[in-house]
Amino acid sequence: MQFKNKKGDVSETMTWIFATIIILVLVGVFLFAVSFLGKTKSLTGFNSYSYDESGIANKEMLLAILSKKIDGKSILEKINEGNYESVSSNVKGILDEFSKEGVVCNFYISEKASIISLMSVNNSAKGKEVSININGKEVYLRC
Amino acid sequence: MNFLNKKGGEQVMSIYWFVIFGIITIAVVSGVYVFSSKPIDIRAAETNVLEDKIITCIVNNGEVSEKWKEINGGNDLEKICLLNLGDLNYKEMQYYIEIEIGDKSISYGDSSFKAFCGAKKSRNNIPYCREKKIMVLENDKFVLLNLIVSIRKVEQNAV
Repeated sequence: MQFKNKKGDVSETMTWIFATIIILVLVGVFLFAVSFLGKTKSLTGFNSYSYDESGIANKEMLLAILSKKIDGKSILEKINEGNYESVSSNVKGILDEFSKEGVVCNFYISEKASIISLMSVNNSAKGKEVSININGKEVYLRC
Repeated sequence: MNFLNKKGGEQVMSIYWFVIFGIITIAVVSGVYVFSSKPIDIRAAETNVLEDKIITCIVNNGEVSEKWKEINGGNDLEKICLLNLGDLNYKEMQYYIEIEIGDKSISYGDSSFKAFCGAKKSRNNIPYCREKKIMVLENDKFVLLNLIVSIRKVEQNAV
């Protein structure tokens, strides 16, 4: 019988046995991770974008504020006239009324990217910001 | 015995490689299957769609619309707002909708879902519920529109 250098064969076999074990362990870890990740799936994936807020409710509220008539004139007409002092005090009153009902909003008007009038009860409004353009002035509401 | 012939070893290794490739292939396929077979909870998105449909139906340009006056019950809500709240997968009602504007209030669906409103988000095996409050105009006065939408569909979304 001739066994020429069997040491190499044995160590190679051992290497492959360990390699197989490692591959199987990795496959097990992969399947476990996939099963765990499958439970955390969401419609938006890993994006922070929220599909909960379409902004339609806020848009309707903004239209309600703009349509509200005070002293015979709507807020929209007052914005068109540039009567921001009156708009500011009126909208502040409206937002106070909203906050008493549990609806907290921020409202501001900007022109050429600079804010010209800002009204808010506090800064805790976290919903989707909506805006309407009125003759070059952008009116924003976030509730 | 002479073990110098290494050809047999190569054949054994080929079989081994095929087995390993097979294991990896099965693992990848089953991984994809396991991942994609887990349900995604879309009830929050469905609630949002339903809320939007109801709001655009009963509010027009920030004012309570004429349609709201015509709605006197759940069946009216389905007809007038063009909603279809039936689900072929379930015999029981899977929705609960409650709308309150000023003194008038209507509700439709299984009211037992209302008990789950305000429950923690982490508890997925219960009906999903969301309450929305918006201010709208009615006769040039601001009134609170309180909208509660709850969807059960636990089996499809959150098992």
